[in-house]
Amino acid sequence: MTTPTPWTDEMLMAFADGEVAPTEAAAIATAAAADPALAARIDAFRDSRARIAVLATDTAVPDALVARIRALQAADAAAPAPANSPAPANSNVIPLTPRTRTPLWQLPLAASVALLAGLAIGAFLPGGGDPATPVALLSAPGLPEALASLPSGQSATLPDGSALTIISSFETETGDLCREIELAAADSAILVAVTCRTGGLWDTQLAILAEGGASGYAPAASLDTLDAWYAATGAGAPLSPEEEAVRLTP
Amino acid sequence: MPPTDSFADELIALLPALRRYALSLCRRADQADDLVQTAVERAFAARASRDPAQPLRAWTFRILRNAFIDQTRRTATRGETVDITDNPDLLSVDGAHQTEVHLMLASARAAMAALPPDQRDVMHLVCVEEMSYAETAALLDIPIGTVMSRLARARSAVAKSLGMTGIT
Repeated sequence: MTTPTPWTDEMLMAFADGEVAPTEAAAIATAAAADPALAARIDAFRDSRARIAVLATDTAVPDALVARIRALQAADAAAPAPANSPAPANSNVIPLTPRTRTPLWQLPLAASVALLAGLAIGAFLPGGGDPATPVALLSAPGLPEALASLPSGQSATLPDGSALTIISSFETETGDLCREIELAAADSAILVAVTCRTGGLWDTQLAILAEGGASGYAPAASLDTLDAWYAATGAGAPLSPEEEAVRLTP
Repeated sequence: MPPTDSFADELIALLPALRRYALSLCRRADQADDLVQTAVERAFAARASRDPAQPLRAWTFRILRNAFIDQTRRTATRGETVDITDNPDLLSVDGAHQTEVHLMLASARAAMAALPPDQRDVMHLVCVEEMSYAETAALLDIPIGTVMSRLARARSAVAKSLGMTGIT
């Protein structure tokens, strides 16, 4: 008999937010796998974040503010430069973001894009998810197994009839394996998602709802979002087939 | 205009985030725009003293937040806040998801509006602007444990107000 660890809300929230050390994350993931109530608490923290994160799609800016900055810039240019204005270039500094693309918070709202952060694949949303939404695709049975074994570029039909295509694999800054996937429901919806394996669980980082099932491709704006996500998270380059094979070996 | 001056461009690129944060703090569009303008002016005035190693976003957020605090100190009574009005820009998009997205935004705003200011602040920085707990703690000058306790309370409140399950 073991005494259940009294997980605090703060610990579970930090786990949901990816803010705990790997060892603690593994312990929480293991405990959650055996305890639906604990898993539900974690899911609620993930879900509450995702539901508020949609506010980041508000990118409206009054023209007057842009004009004000341009005016300040012009005034600056007319005045003598401050003494320490040209900061000395530090040759030891490596640019932090070699992939300079549109930051996530700068993206225009694309109506067909839904950002749904932090939904755990396979074992989640106890009554919290709407089964009618395409996001339910992410809880398709057999998905975790396919994610763990299917090489990039290959497709598989899941038991529920949805079609999974693995687009690519890459590693996060902390070395977790991530996979970009497309999930096509039997009816129409196509979901482009990025899911990463942490503590043995596949955790959806980003899900983009792409409309128009037949083509199999997301609208350009949706993929901009994906691009921005890659740039923002410091995701590594796609793994080669050999590297991927090593990571997929149990 | 000097072609090499990227500061203005970087600032313009940050405007959506600055305005979102301003809206989160003052919850009135007109006040938020004034606040962003004040922050932008202060940023220009102080640009020479900025440590280039400090990310521009964190630096400008701090300026904006300090400006907000100044403003609220100066104004003894802040007047009744009103709900953030519908954003016409969000309604101009086409597509079948328009209404759904709009509803998601509306419910998110309502849930945020119901939070105490301290909790809304950390909620916005972490969940909307995707700052880490450490970045948030640094910006707000509070211990990371305070960030976490405020955030956990905010998240539970939001989960409840949005009718989610799993909250004890």
